[in-house]
Amino acid sequence: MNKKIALVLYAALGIVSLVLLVMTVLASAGVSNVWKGMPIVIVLFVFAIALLVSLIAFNPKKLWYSIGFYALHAGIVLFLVGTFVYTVSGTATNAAPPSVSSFTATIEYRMKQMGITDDQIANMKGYYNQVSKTDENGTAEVIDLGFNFRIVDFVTEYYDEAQTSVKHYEATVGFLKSDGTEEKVSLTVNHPIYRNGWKIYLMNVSENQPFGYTEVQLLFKKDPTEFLSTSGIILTVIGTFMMCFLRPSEAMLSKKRSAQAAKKNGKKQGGKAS
Amino acid sequence: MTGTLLRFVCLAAALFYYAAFATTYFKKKYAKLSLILWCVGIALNAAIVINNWIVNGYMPFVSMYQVLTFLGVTFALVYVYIRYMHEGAFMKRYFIASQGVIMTGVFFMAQASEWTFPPALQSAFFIPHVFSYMISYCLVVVAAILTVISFFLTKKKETYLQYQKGAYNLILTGFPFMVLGMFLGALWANECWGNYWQWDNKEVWSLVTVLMLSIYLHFRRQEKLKKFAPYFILLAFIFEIITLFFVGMFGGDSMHTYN
Repeated sequence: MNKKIALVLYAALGIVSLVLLVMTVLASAGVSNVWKGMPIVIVLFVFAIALLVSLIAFNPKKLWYSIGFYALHAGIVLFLVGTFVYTVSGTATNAAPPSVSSFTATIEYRMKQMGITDDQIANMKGYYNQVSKTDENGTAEVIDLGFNFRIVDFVTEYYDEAQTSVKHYEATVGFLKSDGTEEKVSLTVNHPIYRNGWKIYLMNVSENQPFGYTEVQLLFKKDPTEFLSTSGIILTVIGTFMMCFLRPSEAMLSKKRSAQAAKKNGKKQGGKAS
Repeated sequence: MTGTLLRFVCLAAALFYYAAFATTYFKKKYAKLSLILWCVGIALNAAIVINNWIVNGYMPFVSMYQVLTFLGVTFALVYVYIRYMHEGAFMKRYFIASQGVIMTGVFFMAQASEWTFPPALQSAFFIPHVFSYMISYCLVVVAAILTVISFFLTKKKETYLQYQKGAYNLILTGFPFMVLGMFLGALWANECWGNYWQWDNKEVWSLVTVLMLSIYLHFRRQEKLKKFAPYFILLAFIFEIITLFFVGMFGGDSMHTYN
């Protein structure tokens, strides 16, 4: 690779790192919104461009090392592109449907006492097919999920009898099928479920105030580029291992440099002689 | 093991590590003694790890106490690899000294071996994520020690180059594990929190650490920039310490705090 291009690329890496370091210090010091807005987009854009240029300009000779180089640098670019496209075109929103099994007779009695009708209670316990998303300006948008679901049951297991330390959360999600039957699927933390292009996460659980039934906090996410981002991650990791473990030895590199220097000197002398 | 016994074992492990470290400076005929002292230190250290493992029923990586005791043993495992793959016998004393420092730190911590395993940590990513970081942390620590010592050896060119090359080999081995740890964390976050990257304090400090090592590896390839490269190992070491201890202790907003 041309030494000047290399220096420019290394300078870009240094500047990107420096800017990220400053932003990290600011964020750690409690300055809010450091990671939102244009500065971080510009930093990541410069980083991606530097990586792309390096992919074009650099031409490693050793086979496995070369594969590692392309996998690592292209992997980061893929990851950045994937996450950027998700930021622009993906969707993520929270919802907190009630767990049907948590509606006890006492809770329903209390709800009726407070003016909630039977129909309204039945609706709350019924199926949901929409979620709402509120943007930064406070504008709410209703999103059709394309399926009907409800939380049939929610179980919390504890390590201790005093119920201070949670061992396990598990929601049973019921999906209404076209034939009217219900498909029950278990949803736990760390194990999201896929449905109709949506990825559904179990995020948390809370008790509704003032009625006392259980609200299950879910995250609905649609990421059309998840495959791209995950592939980028896998490529980056494989490439890093290949580059570091299959790197040409220092001796080989210095031999190569000496050969290049000798060639250069030879050319100069040849030029003078002619 | 009770808290008092654990503390005693921890102190004994640290003392054996320091004794083993001191004997590495003795004449060659004491090499066996040094090895025996070191092995006793490792055995005591491993006893705490095994106790933590049995008491909890899972690999003890949840609390800072558990992580650090495991880190002590990891240094020994990593040294064996470096010793045979990168002719790293001369680094042995620095690995031992690091283990001593870590066990001294653990000695002053609350000996709470029992720790609950919250739902968010119950993932297949948990152990490889933490273990990758442990391997890389060990290597960066010793690489930083070698780098600092090399600064005092500039007049002895051969030894200086040996230490610099030693640090380079350690980073070459540790860097991929740090990248692996970071990206396993990203994949895990995508399964747990619904996003690869949260811009959490701990995440960004670890990213900055990776970038410092990345700059080191790039600069080392360029004749003009090579002389600046070692400073980035030191920066990586400082940021690693911040990532491991300070964000966890004081970063109130971090999603990675140890409580």
